[in-house]
Amino acid sequence: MKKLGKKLVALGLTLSMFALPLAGCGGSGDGAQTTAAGGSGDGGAESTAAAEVSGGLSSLEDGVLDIGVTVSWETLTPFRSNIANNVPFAYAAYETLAKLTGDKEYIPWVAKSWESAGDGVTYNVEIYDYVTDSAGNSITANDIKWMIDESKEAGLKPCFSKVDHVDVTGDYTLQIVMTEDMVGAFEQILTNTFVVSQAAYEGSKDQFATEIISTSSYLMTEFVADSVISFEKRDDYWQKEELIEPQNAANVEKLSFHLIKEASQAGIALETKTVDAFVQLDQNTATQFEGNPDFTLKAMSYINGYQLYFSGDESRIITDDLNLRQAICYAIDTEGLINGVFAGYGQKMHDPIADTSVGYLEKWKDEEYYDYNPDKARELLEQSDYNGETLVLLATSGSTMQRLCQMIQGYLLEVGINLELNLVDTALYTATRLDGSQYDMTINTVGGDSLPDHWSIRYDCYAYSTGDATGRHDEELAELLRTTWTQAGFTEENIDAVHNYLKDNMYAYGMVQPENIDVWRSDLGLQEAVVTNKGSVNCLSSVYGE
Amino acid sequence: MARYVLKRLLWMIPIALGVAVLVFTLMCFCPGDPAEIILGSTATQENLAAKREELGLNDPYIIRLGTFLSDTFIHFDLGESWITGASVKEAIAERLPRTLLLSIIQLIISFGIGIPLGVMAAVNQNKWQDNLCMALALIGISIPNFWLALLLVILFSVKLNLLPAMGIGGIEYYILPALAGCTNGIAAGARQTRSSMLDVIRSDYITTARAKGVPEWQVIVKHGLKNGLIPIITVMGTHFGKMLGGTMVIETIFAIPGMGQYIINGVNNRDYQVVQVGSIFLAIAFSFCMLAVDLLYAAVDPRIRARYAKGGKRRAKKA
Repeated sequence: MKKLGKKLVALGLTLSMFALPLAGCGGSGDGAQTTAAGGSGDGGAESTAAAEVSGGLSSLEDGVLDIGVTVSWETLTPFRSNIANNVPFAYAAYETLAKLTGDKEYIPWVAKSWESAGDGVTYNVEIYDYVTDSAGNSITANDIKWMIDESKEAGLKPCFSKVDHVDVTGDYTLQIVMTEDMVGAFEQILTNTFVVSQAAYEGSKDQFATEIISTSSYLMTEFVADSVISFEKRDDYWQKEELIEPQNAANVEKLSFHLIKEASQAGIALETKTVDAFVQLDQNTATQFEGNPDFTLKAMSYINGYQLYFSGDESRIITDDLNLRQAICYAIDTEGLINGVFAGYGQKMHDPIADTSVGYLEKWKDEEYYDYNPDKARELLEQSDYNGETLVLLATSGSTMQRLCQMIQGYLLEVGINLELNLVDTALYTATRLDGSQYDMTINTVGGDSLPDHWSIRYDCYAYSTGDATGRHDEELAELLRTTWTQAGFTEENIDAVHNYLKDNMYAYGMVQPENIDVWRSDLGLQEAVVTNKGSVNCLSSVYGE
Repeated sequence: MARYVLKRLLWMIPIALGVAVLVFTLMCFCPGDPAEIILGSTATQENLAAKREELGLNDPYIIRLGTFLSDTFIHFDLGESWITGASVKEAIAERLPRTLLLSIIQLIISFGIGIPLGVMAAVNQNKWQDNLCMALALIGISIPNFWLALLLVILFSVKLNLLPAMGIGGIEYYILPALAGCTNGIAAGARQTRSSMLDVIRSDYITTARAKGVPEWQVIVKHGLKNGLIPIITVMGTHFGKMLGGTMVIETIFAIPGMGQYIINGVNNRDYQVVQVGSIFLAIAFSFCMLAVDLLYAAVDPRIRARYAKGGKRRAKKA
């Protein structure tokens, strides 16, 4: 009897150990389907099967559009670069002089107009003469000059280092003089200058770290660092209705952004209706919503691609071995990376820069660009000076990057190249990445609003004390870049010459340009999605069903 | 007793200073240039040089250490995050209550379940109850927190729709994180309680109590458990201290902006100010936990209470 009791207890324990995991692992149980991966492959694809349910924003239970995001924030100060970079709520918090749209067009916002004086470095800007912030302060040219000067001095947004000086030429006009003639440099000032009143900023108790006063059409109502930020539409917005561009429209009354970093929790937040939409959802999590009529997926090209940069430091064997570099490129199956790492959501690159940058030539997509060919890789390897040495790949240690690196390691091993992965935290990576003597190749995700923006920080051998971003000193390339990035030299022919130079010498290999996936509840009836230049849906300006 | 508490409080000063010097030194010699991390990959050499100067990174180590110690301990200026510019003091004031609440709930659940399990195992030594409790303890120690957290979310939030899956708000937001984070505590509590109780229930005074006809539950709880509490309190205190600084995984999964996340982000970003101040804060909090443990010893054991009192008097006489 006693033995039987023991057996029953053991059985009970065993069953309970199995029951707990099984209780959790059965999916949502109310219609959410998991389908095989398979992204759209091209930007802007949308998938939904819920045309019949479109309750619009009125279907929101509390009248608040709750949006999940993965980018954290701790401060709202307008001088910090993290606010400007990819934070989905930035458009609700602050306005800029102009905005770069998803169609690569610069549209006015606080600036009424701007024009070049013709010398390539001087620009005249006029702002609207009736701009006011939420506290009623009028915005004048002096406020804009102060903001540009402060941004330059703070040094937290590097684009401001290209401003030489700003002169106020009238109450609402100013002249911005740049340090050099470079395409896109002035436009970056337009899109990075957050408009705030100097008086309001100086009167703020914490320099707008947690409470802001801005000209935005939204008023911030709640801020909890690294957790939630809420906005409500202003009744006293300064701009005239007829002059508001569709990309700047405020079509939502109330909205909250919730930080959810953990990928599976992001999916659960959508399923449990904790959030109504999720911006930049992890690709592998997004696949669980494919084919689910309750959700709409929108896949858009991400502004940054994953690039493989080869060291330019003389101490590395790869620096002078073009055959080895080319062999590596042919050995990597980029389609495999897209499917294996990004669940099919991405596209093969044809240049190290993403196709969303101003100046990118669409014709490059039809060119042969180191398509996967292990036989050719082996052939080139034979011609190279490689003798079985172990090469070092430096990258950050995030989970996506780890998977990417491991796959590359496998591909290279397949053709006979030994690769050691040096995966480090972001801080250590930042400290090492310019030192080409520390690695043979490194993976980065450097983007840029325009081609010169990208080129100047990657390939200009005068940019850093050690040479270009990998320690290379190629003055021929630098000369070519300097000819091309001026207003007069930014021609298709010159741009193509830079592209071909980089491709032929294989200093950098563009591998995968992933897609951002935004997921929305279908019953919100998202009719017209306004896409930002960062490759995600602008939830404030998009049009929803009634 | 008051003298003892005062003495312990004074001891916290060298502890905090020691931690400050240690963390500062470790961060100083960590690879990674804070100026480059703050300004980003596109910063110019001039900007980087200016930022290094502004942060005092060009000063010798000893000068920087002195400045940090005087700012923190003399002027009580905890500074600002180098990355975000937000006040560290305000950030800690905002985040610490969340971590504290989460830790307290975890502690209550851990030892509210762990102690009875341990008692049951001890009084039924080598019987099925004992085996069951120890098997549960083994499972508790073995289950990874992040895995259990996701299972709990799927069960209680997705399937049963009973509790929120993430975020902050009322007490209900802390139940799943606390449950996910307390399995180790339950296991530790149960195992320690069993061990202590087994020592105690073999004592002569327990046999005497039984011989005198004291009801069994009174023998176990009043005479047994009370005397076996000292090691359990030690485990509780240590565990609570660990929870204060080590809830990063749970905080990330449940999107709770607490201290664990704050300090880990600081480490990853080489945000010296955040890491240094956060670590000092946790060291002080841990010291308070240990003080509370010592005071609890005195509360549950009259012999220790008497020793504290005696020690105080003896020193008073000498003076």
